[in-house]
Parts: sequence; structure tokens; C-alpha cells
Amino acid sequence: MESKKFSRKSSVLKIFAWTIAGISGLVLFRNRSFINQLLINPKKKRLAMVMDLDKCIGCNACTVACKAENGVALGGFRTRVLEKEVNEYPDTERYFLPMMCNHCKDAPCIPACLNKAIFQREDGLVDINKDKCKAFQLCIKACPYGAIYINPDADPSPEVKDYPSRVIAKADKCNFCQHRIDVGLEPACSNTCPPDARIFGDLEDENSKVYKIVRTGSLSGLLQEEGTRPQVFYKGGKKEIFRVKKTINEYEG
Amino acid sequence: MDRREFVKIASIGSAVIYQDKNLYAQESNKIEKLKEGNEGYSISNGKRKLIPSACWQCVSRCAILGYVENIRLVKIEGNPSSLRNEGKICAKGQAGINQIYNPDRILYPLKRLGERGSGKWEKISWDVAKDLLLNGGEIEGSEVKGLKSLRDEGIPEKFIFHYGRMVGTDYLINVNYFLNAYGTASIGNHDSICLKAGSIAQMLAGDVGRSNRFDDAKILLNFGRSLIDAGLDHIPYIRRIAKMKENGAKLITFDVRLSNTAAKSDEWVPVKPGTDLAVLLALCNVLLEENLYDKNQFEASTNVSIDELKEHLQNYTPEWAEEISGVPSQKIKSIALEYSKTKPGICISFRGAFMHHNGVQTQRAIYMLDAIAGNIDPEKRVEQRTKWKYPFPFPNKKNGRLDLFAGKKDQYAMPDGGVSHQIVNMIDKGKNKPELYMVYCHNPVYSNGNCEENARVYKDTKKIPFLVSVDVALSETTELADLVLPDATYLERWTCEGKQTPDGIPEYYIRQPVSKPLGESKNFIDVACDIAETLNLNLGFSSAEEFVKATCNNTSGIKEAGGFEYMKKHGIWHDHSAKVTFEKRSKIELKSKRLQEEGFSPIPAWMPIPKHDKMNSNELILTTFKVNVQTHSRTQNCKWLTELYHENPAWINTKTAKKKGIENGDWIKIKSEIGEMITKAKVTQGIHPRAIAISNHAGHWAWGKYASGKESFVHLPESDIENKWWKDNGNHVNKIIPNVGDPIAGSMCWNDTVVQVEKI
Repeated sequence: MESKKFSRKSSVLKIFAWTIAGISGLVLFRNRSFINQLLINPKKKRLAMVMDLDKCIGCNACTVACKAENGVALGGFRTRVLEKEVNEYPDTERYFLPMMCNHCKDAPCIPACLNKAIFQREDGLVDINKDKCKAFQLCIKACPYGAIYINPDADPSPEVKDYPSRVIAKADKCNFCQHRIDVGLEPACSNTCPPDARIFGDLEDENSKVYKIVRTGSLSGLLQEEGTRPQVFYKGGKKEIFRVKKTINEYEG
Repeated sequence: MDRREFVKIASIGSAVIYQDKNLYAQESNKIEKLKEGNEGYSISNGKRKLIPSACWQCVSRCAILGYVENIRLVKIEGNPSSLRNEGKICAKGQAGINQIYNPDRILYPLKRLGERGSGKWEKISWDVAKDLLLNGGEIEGSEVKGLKSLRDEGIPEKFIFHYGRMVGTDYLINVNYFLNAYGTASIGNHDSICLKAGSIAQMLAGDVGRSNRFDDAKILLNFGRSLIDAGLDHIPYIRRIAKMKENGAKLITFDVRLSNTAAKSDEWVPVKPGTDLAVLLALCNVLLEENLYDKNQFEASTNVSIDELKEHLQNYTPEWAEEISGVPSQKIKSIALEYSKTKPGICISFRGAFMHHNGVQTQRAIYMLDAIAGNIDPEKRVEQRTKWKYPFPFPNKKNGRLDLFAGKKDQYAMPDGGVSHQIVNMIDKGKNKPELYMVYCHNPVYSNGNCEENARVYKDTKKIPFLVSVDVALSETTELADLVLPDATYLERWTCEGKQTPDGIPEYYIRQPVSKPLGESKNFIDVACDIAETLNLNLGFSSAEEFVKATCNNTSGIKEAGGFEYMKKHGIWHDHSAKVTFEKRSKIELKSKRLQEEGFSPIPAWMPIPKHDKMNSNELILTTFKVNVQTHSRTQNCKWLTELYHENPAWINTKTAKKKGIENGDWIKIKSEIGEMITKAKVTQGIHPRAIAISNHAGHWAWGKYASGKESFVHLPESDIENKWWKDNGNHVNKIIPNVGDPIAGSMCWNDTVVQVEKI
């Protein structure tokens, strides 16, 4: 009886512990075997971005570069930087958390879409086929990061009409600046990042910076407990700052 | 064109450019590979044209690349050839496009109808505008005098030219050529609301140039400088600091507020506003008491003996400074020891430290600290500056100046260089009246302290008979003008620029139009050339482009590289032959004879802020600051920036707020000696308990829909205007800050106002 009670207590504790780990939204990819697991098909390209939080200064150059490059309407964000303060005065610290679509390996937005408008390319890029999108918004509900928004335009002007982000009443989100990366450029956000905190590249390319960082540092991903297997990795930062449910497109108005 | 077709075309364009050796590839990192008229991928039509130019969203002026589709600027990026910003630009630089296509952009000259500030205008032609500016005429029943009339009457100095931002050859052409040839030295600037206390301190100290390369510093003590948020040379410093930190340099920031700079520092030391000087004096005291100095080196590089300094500083103990500043004495001691033993070190500062009543002495104490710590060697590092060779001789005339630029007689000990935020007070109270007052790229009504008083004077046609504003949108000042000249934005102008790289290499670069001036807007430099021609001023050139072209073709090095055509194509040229040299410095004047004569302590000494000494325990000290996505008063018309920052909540310490019953997001009233304002509370652990901090960016009551929520007279519909989702545009903090100056430099005391704060 005693021992049974004990074991029940310990399993409750275990569940409790896992819940805490889950809530913290942070799993550190410290051990090498975990990294090796990531490398499923070494011949394929696998696009990823690393956010170096030790370097990020919260300047939002990325946010605005993205707006310009993709013609994103006011009210929507493909990427943005959140701020979080921790500790009490005078030991206060502030962290910056650049966020965007995580191009998840198990992207919950893909099965959520009734019209199969969201797809994943072989290189991992998750994109939206605007022709198929019916703006049911189920993807918005499914994405734990709040990465997807509906373009708010009633009628965009001719100057911005050609931007894929400005299709009336369609879902939109980051696509790693597909039009840039497909011609060998980096996305607009990492292109302008003043302290080089955003590093974009191919995880399967031994010469890429992301390849090296993923193998040398301890990295984390947002909301790991969601099981989405995000392909945006975070270097540094404190675990308190990773509790960021639905935050990219969360705003007043 | 449907989407599929567009994708197809876009990918064809992409494929073409990809085969063409990846011209834009970041990896190549050099713009030299680009050819003139280069075209690349595009979202809309598969083609983009690239034009190198220079940013001007802030004074850092990074080198940029403009990407144009058809004739529309669609994207701005950093120019990878720059050794300063290294291909990077900030949020403000990225949003430069918004300056051109601002729905409240002025596209034609305007003449006032009704009373000043009534918001009624008549659209006029450039011919009419030019005639009015030159010959004067009637404006709503009053006769005004123009430039020609003033000159013909022999009173050209009654033409005041007051500029806010003016850089590179824009400054040169306006001031050294046009105004000088015209005959007025009545020129106002913005120094006294910007950094004047700092520059006067530097002038007093003399030869304080660095001995070491900034980037080699292993420790940085930062007093009130937000260089990572929005500093002077913003992007270059972000990159330099990032590299320095990678190399193990330590950054310690003293600030009333946990700025992003403080947050990215290794240590944030909160200081009560206006007491940085006490901390600095105590740091100096510790170094002397602990014998952490090189007597010979110190005495060789300054005009004070160690014994005299010891005596002077003996009472400024860390315990004394703790009492005043709130910084624990142990912290002061440990930082002093660390600063002394880590070499090389550099102490830096800015507005947070010196835009106070005691600002000049604070900045001088910074030089004193570095001199004692051995960071100012007898030899100084001398970097070559850019030496553009201007082919046109300066007029070099001696011109008259109205007595409006130095404050009242004996008001300030050293008004050298002008106290321009006092021009309004001087006009208001004095006899010295301008006839024609031109405001250029400036918004004094908003940017000085005491906005209401400013507006009253600028509105008064008896005090300022003819008010002309050169602007890109209708600012709070421009709204009061009689004549508005629509300026070209910085992206539509020609300018020669020059700065040094971190390694001391002169970087020559140009600003060229990435787009033709929109509507009927014109670069004012071209207007000035036109006026000069009409008045037979013989400047030698007739446009900004001609000046830039001739200068590029005349400057050695650039000339050989291909001159103007080379610069148009590449944007930048470096003089790699320029060498950094070391020179013996003249002695730093830590003991100032001039200050002594004016009745101030010749060696930096504690200088209390009178109003702070009389404060009761419920009152707070109001300080202002900048954020990383706005530049002072002039970027709120940029929708992408104002979407990110449009309210200006007051930062208030959690404990202080609790005592006052204020919770995060509550509306609060802040009352100073001249007025009160309402804003939201941002309750935070990131500010000193005796401070309350509000940015100076939000709260426009003009400047167009994005900035103020109100459409201006010139408003045109724009794609995003219906998507503007924020309703609160903030309340401007300068309305409750008195328009005063420090007793030495006359520098605006932005961070000294005592306020009462309550929940409403």
C-alpha cells in the first residue's frame, strides 16, 4: 500500500514535471544524438533560420524590411520582435524575441486547412497557395505562434496589388522571402539585421553558418510541447521569454 | 495579370539574374560587381533597377541601395560596399520609402489663406511662390518683404534661416554659398536642443581625441548614451559594439532607464536623473585614493597636478555619491577598480548625461575620469577625414546677424555656437525682429520645450511678418507658415557625404535621387541656386546635381576612379591610402580658466540642480528618450514605423506606481510648472524610482494622418490608410518641459523637469 501510494505520487510528480517543462516551451537541443536525429535526409536541402538572442537588439529592422520586401499591409506581420522584461529592479533584464513562421516540420496549419492551400516544399519551406485559400482561418487557429493573418485590404492600390501578401481576404505569412531565396539571396530580414542576429541557411549544407551553429551551440525552439518541430532555432535567451503563444499577430484593433 | 502568370514572369526574371553570376548575391558582398542599369528579380514584374544612395532617416546617414521598379522605389537595403554600415540598415532606413509616398506629402507650393494655423491654403505655382519669396507681396491683407526687398534695403540680416537637419553639401551650399553670398549670418541651428552641453565641454577641455582605436576597448563605461537604441552613427556602432563584445569587451551602462542599450550591456547601473556627475566624481575619487594612476602620464597630458586634483576630489567619496545618486558606494568602488585595471577603456556619454543643468561639468568629469584612468595618453590618434575638393570658391563675405541667437545678455556663460531654441523667446521679448523667417527641415514648435509658447510666437504676424517653411509634410511649424515650399525628400536629392570608417579610412559617398521629386516638389538646394541666379549672386553652379558632379570630378582619387559616373554607379569610394597617425596632444584643460572667470568651478565639481534639491518625496523627475524605430519628430509620417511605435506611455517604476495606486496601462496625469499632459502608464522594473520617462516621438497634432490621426490639407488617399488600426497617437511630452538652458552652455535641460504624477 505504502509503496503503491509512493509510486502514484511519483508518477503524479513526473507528469507535473513534464507539464512544467512543456509550459516553459523550451527544449534545449544539447546532445549530439538529438542533432543527428534532425538530419533525416542529408541529400535534401533543409531551410532554417537561427535567431541569436545574445546578439538581437530588438531594433525591428527585420520587421520593417519584411514589410517593405513583401508589401505587407498595416495590421499584419510576417515577422516581428517581442520584448520581455525579467527580474526585479535594479537587476532588471530585457530580452528580445524575433518571431516569424517557424516553417515547422510537422506544421499544424497544413492539415488544418480544408482546402489544402498550405503546402510544404521539399526544402521545408511552408507556403500558402493563395488561389486555393478560402480564408476559413482554421490555419490561424492551428498555428500556436500566431504567424498567420488575413490580409486586411479592402482594395489595395495598383502599386501594391502585385504583392502576394496583398490578395484580398487571403491568409498570409512568412515564406522565407521565397522570391529572394530562389535566386540565391537571403531573406529580407536577415539581409538587413544590423547585429547579424538572424542567420538563414541550409541545415544540410556543411558550409552554411546555420549548419555550424546548430552543431556547436545549445539551441531552443518555441513551444516545443506543441510537437510542431519548428525550423527556426534560438540561441541564448532565458527560458521565461519563450512562452509566446499566438503572439506574432496579436495586437490591438 | 493573374497570379500564376505573375509567378511565371517573376521566376523567369529570377532565372535570368541567377545565371548572370548572381549579381545581387550577398555572399559576394561587393557592389563593384554591379553594372550600371542593373536589373534583377522583382515581385511584380521580374525586374528591379538598383541605385546606390545615402540614407537620411537619422543623422547616421548610412550608405544604401535603392531598388526601383518602373519608376517606383520598392525597397531600400544597406550598401554592402560601406565599411561603416556594411550592408545593413535599421528599421528607419528600411521605412524611407514611406517618406516619398507619404499620403500627407506636400506636392506643390502653398500660400496661406485665413489666419496662421487655420489650415486653409491656396495651391500656387512655383513662379508665384518664387516671386513672393523674392519680392514679397500681400498675404491675407498684410504686406511682407521678400529676399530681394531686404537686400535692396540693405537689411539682408533680417532674413533668418533656421535649420534642423542639414548635412553634407546640403549644409555647404545653403550656408557657405547661398546664405553667405546673399548676405545674412542670421542662421539658427538645432545644436542647443541636441548636444550643445557636450560640445561646449569638449571645447573647454581641448585636445581630448582618443589615444586608442575605439574598437580595441576592453571596457566601456556608458553614461546615458542609447547607442544601441538610436545613437549617433547608429548602425556602424551596433556592428562595432557587437564585434567588441564578441572579443570580450565589457559594457557598463549608467542610465535612469533600462534602455535597450542598458539591456544589452553587461551591467545596468540605474542613476537618479541629473546625478551622473556625482558618480563620475566618486569614480575619480576612488582612482586617486587607491593610487590607481600614472602621475607622469596624467600630468603630461593635463593642466592639473595630481596633488591639486586629490585635494579637489577628496570629499567626493563613493558614500557621498551614493547619497546623491542612489548608486551603491560598493558598486562605484568595484566599477572604478575594474575600469582602472581593464585596458584600454573608454568612457562614453550623450544626452542622458549632459542635457542637464549640470551637463557641461558632467561631460568634463568624463574627460577627467579618462585622464586619471590613463585612457588619454600624451599622444592622440589622428584619423584622416574625407577631403572633397569643391571646385567653386566660397563667397567669404562678412555678414550681419540679428542679436537673437545667444539668449539674453549674460543669460548663459558660453552661448558660443548659438542657443537656437531661445530664438522664439528672444523674438517674443526683444526688439530685434526678423522680416523673413525661413524654417528648413525643422519643426521648432514641436521640437523645442514649451510648445504652446513656441506656437504663440510663430503664429504672431507682428513678431514674425513673413514665415516660410521648406518641408515635406505639414508639420506643426509648417502649418503656421505663410508660404510653404515643397521639398524633395532625401531620396530625391543630390549630396556629397563623407565619414570615417572604424579603421580610420575616409568613406566618400553620395546621395543621389532614387526617384524624381514627386509632384512639384523640389530640392531646396535647387531653389536656392535659382534664387541666387535671379539675384546675381554668382555661386558658380546652378543645381545640386551640377555641384555634386563637379565635386566628384574634381576630388583626387575619385576623379581617377571615374569621377561622377563612378560614384553614380557605386555610391562609395574609399581612400585606402589615408594613414592614421599619432600626434602629441596639447594639454587637456581639466582646469578651465574661462569657467573660473564666469564664476563656475574650474575643475569639474558637484553642481546640484536647484529644482531637484527642493523636490518633495512624491515628485518625480521627467526624462525623455528616443526609441529604435523613430527619429525625433520627423519619422512619424512613416507608416511602418508608426505602426510599431505610436503611443508614448510613461515609464514608471513598479514600486513608485504602487505607492500612487497606478497600474500598468492606467491613464495618468503628469503636471509640471508649465502645464500638464495625459498618457498611459508603463509600469516597469526598468526605471529609477525617482524618474518618469517619456519618449519625444509621439503626440503630433499635425504631420499627417499616420502621425496625428488627422489628414492634412494636402492629404491624398493611399493603399494602407484604411488599414491604420491604431487610434492613440500619444501626447507630446515637450508641451510640459520648460524651454530653458543650462547656465554654462545654454543647452536645453531635457531631463530636469520636476513633475507630479497621479492616476486619473
